Amino acid sequence: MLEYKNGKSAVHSLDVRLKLALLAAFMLAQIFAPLSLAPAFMAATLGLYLLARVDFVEVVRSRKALLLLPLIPSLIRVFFETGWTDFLGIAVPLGIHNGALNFLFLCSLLYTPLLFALTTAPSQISAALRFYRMPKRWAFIFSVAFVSVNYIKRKAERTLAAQRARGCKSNALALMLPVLHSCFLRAKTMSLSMAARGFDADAE
Amino acid sequence: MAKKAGLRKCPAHGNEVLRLENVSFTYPGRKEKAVDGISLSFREGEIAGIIGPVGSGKTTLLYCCNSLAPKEIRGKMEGRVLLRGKDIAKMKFPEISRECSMVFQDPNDQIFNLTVEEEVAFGLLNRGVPREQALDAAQRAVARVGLSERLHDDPSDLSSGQKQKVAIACALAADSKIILLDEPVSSLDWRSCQEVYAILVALAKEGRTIILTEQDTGLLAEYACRIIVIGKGRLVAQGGRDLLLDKRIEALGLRVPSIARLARELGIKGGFDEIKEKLARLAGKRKGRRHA
Repeated sequence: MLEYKNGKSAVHSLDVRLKLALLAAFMLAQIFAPLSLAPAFMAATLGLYLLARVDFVEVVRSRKALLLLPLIPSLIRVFFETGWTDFLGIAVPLGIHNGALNFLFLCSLLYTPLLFALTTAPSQISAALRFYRMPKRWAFIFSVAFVSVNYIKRKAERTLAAQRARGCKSNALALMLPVLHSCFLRAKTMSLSMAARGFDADAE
Repeated sequence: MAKKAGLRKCPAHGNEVLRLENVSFTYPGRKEKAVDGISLSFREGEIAGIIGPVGSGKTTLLYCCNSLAPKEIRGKMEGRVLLRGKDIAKMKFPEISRECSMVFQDPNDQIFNLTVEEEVAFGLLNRGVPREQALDAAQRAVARVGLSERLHDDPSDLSSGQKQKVAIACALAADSKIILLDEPVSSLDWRSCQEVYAILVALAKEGRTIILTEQDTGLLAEYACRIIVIGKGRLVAQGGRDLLLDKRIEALGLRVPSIARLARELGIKGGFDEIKEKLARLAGKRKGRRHA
């Protein structure tokens, strides 16, 4: 889901500290700007995807479940807000108007950090977080979490294949348990390996 | 080349680098000890192979050697481990890792960086070595294990053998004098096994101490200077490779090297070198007869 994709675009090669600062500024601007500006922010997000040469449609398609996050609160607005408003000279129901803006606002808020994760190597993220004085322990947790996404994805694929080979139908719980188990085991061995290589989370 | 390297003799008078004094370790909630009163000493430049059946305490013994047990793996430890005469219990990991590196059984579990270079430099960066220097050392270590062309690749794209070499490169970059390896070739093909052991032999020649656990007695017969046999957490025996011909090896459920089995079938007796010599002579005679 947050798998880093190597590339040579302007977004990829931007200094990661600057990229992180711009991301924070962009997100804060979205949060504090009026909702009516949501389409402009979404257009900017799409522009960034173009600039990064990352296929936005593919990103959305391969992470369909993520769409539920902006969709559910937007649908709530659609169904629970009453009244009418003027949109480009046409009277539209307020729920639909606000729901659509809310959807664009949340999509932009969700897919911009995702683009950051897709275009930044986890080790660079860790270094940038450390630059902004994040404690080493937390910076490292973030970077390992980003790297581990790939591992979890592969593990889930293998577990699913093994289950299907033995005639098991798709079942989220049956998939999740072995994947979680293997993740905990990996975390344990990884922590041993880090300790053996002198990693000290509290050392500066 | 690898085969030739394996025939080297053990250094007789290397300095002692690691000493285990009556070491025992018990996992929480278990009555029986995983390691039970083991005393051992390791010298510079030797390759010591620890063998024993599954669950005999080989890996736990390795964990005791660099104090992962009990510092990271909970349990009760008795006895002392001395690293160059210093009690390891009083040392911190960054200090221990300078002297002693570990390669885990499954390299997938210890590799978590995005490039081979960063993975190998990780230990040095933890020590506070400047990034440029750490990356330089990583490049040299990766070159030693013959993976220079994969320096900037994602380690998860490498084969099992290459991943194991990356794990060894991590130990090399750290310039550790002692390298602990937990069944380093258990998931590798024969060729990769030979390559990994050739690297280990070269490292031992530089004076590094290699301590490894292994199931393949044939590999130990070829490469190890000293065999340490463990059963139910206890030290059963230790000695040269002739120990692998001992009946106790089979009694523990381990497979004796194929050369020893062949010698037994042919009724050839003696130590390893003697058996090899006799078998070579026998093969020579047969060849001669066929030519005649």
